[in-house]
Amino acid sequence: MKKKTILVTGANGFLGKVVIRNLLKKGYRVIAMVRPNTLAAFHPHDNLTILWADILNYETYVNKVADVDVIVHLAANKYDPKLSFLVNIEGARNIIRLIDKKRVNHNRIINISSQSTKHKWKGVYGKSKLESDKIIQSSKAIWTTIMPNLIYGYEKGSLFYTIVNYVKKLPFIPLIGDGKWELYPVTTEDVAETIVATIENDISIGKIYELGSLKKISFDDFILLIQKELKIKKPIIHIPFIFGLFMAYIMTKIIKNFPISVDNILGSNQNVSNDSTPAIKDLNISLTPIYEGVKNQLHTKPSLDTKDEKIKIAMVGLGKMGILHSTILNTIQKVEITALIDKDKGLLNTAKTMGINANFYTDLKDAIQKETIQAVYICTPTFSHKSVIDTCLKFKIPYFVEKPVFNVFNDYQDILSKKNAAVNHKSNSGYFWIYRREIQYTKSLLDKKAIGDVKSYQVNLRHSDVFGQKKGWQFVKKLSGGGVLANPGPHAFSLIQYFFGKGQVRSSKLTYLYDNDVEDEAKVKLEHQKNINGDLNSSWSVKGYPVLTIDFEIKGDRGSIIYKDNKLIVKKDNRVEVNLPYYQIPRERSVYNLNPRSGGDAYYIEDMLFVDNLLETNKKNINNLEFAHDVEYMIHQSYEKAA
Amino acid sequence: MKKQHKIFVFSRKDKVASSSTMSFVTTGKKYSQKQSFIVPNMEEFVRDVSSHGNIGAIKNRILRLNLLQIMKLCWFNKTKFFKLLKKDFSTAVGLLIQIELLQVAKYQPTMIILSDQVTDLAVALDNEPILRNFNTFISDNFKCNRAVMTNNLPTVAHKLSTWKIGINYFVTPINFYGYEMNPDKSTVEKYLQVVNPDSLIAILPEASPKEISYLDKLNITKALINWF
Repeated sequence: MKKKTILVTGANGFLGKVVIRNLLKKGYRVIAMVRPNTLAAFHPHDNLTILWADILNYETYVNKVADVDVIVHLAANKYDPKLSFLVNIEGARNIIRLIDKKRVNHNRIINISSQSTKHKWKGVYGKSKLESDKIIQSSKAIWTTIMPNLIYGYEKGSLFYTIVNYVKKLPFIPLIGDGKWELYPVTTEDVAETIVATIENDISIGKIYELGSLKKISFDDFILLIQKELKIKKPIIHIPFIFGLFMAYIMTKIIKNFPISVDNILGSNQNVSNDSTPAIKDLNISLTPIYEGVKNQLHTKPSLDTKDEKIKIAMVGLGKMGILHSTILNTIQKVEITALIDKDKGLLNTAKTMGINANFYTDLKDAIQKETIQAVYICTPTFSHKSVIDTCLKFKIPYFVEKPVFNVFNDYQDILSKKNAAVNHKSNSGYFWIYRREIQYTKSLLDKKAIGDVKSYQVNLRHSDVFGQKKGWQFVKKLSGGGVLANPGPHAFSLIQYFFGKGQVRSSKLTYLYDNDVEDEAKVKLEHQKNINGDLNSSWSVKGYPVLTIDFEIKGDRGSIIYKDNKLIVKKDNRVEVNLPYYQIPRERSVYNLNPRSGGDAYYIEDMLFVDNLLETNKKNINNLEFAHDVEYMIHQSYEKAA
Repeated sequence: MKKQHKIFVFSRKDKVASSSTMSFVTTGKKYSQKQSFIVPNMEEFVRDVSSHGNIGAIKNRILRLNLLQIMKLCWFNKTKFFKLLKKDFSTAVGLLIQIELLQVAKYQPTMIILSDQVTDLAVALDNEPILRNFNTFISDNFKCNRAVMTNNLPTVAHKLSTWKIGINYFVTPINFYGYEMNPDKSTVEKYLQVVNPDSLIAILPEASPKEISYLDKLNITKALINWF
């Protein structure tokens, strides 16, 4: 049987979201009415359509509503006195106009009202909801009215959420009134279940159902129950009713959507009776006991109680690269950063306020002793890598080390010894450039022999970075390993290594434009197995390249591949076979991209692959320590040949 | 980012109905009235930081303001002084945004957009204050639309919805080739089902008929070109 189509007004609200989720779960087709200037709070679903419309602007949606079987009318405004009357009363009138216009099959409507309509002293909400009920009940609609008591759920902005936050954060719980207010709280899930049962049971037509827990509880006891569940004990301070009412009146005038309204205060000091028996009997529903409902709400809220095992990572060095990797790792579900290590204690607050929440240490050994650490990211200056790697190897912890791995090539000898093989097997280096889409695509073409056997290549690295003497460890050869060849040169060498394998430097010419210690330009000639010859030209002192650029031309015996000006061209027999601008070059993996202009997708892939390495699910590990060694061998040779 | 970027508002008949300019705030530059601004200009800031350090880069920016603007800046941050001293990241980003906007307030911006680098970083780090402060600052001080630029629409939109932060527009890659539609084209296309197309400004790598027809199918009428 075809499932009914349900139009839900107020779909984006506190209750609406749960109702939508429940209806979709039960297989209904759902049209969710959401105000045009807001964000829908749902995930996409094949049976879900969003109707972007304001309930008050009837003309904008009347023609978009068709083939609806039931309206679930949730739209209401609680806080703004003027809007409350407008939305609650005019909204109800507009919904009835839809029925009058025959937009709803069989004129069926489930109207969600409130027990505040039963109060002796009604606030704006109580008055306007009562008026709205009358409009619906006196219309041609085939109606059912559900009148819940206090609806609770762990949702930002709700009364329950506010209480939980007060319990957690304040030294005491301020409560307006004597706390003896009698509640029959009902969960959002129970209300959503009741709505579905009402849709399915015609016995409910023309009836008003009260809905609330079977047992009553005082407001004081409700808060104590929350405290008990959170294992927190704080005193409840009662604020006199009149004073609280006055404060709520003032605050709602000053602060938009202030969490406590005059209606809340009025409501919280007037007891109403509740009898859920007719709803239970007619609709065959069961209602969650209060203690169980509170427990469920507190322990099913997102992200607080995730018990999934995560890989625990320590970040050493909180400079640009440390922050970049921390940010990416924060988006990867399987990872948790447990320790931040930096010599500069001043970075602690910056890291914390960025959102990187982990304990702070000034020494890795100290962190290892106090935390569970399953992997280490090394993002410190190059000259300090060796000592951090030594610590990782000593404690047998796999590591990810930024490139270049060493400023002194001989440091590889000790690191790559057999005794470290098991740790190194899971460790990686920061040669991210090879994961850029143009590099991956070119590699796939080379593997397919798209241009036959490679004969020669030319790689050009350009950056507008250095136009005079600069300060910092990067410009001291002893600390960085060199100039443009040591950084950013490794990117270019890494793609050479990736495409053609380990190379031997035939000759190298270095140019010192602004500094006698580190080179600004370099021309390197290389040769590889199978008679492949190549040229690498690099400069960080060339104008017009605010972002580091590496282009290349690879010649084979059947054609050539050129990547230049963000365009990839494949020529065969002097004919252009492929001509792809950067945005048409395909990418294999899904990413969270922090900065497309600087290859953010490649950084993400690099980090994902390291995580896969740790989980032993990485079947195609490229930038491991042997790869880094071979890349840096070419850099090392370039300096030796130039000397 | 020196070049200016055009927002084209496409009509349903594939013709350009109107256009306006969107650009980063570059120090000392003059702009046209009623254009849109992307803040903060992180690339310029990062360049300055590498030469002058964090404090130096911010100090230089403050010194470019006139006395009245400096007084306004102090007023905006009257309760945040200690946070700034303690290098509070979200407060520092807010300060950077305020400095840039004080320079261009006279041009009566029609839309102020939080740059993708800041948006995507804030969401990745669950840093709600950055986005909330931006939103509050613009709505309190400017009568214009608020937007965020992002390269990760589903994650960012969902997070904003959870945080209940209301913005008017998303400026985000949506294009025929799926370029920078992250995590991937099909996920973004599916997610568009729950985003109001009127709130989208699609970033296109090219303004070709193919791209316009793609947007038309998605009921998206606004696009930003000449961006990547």
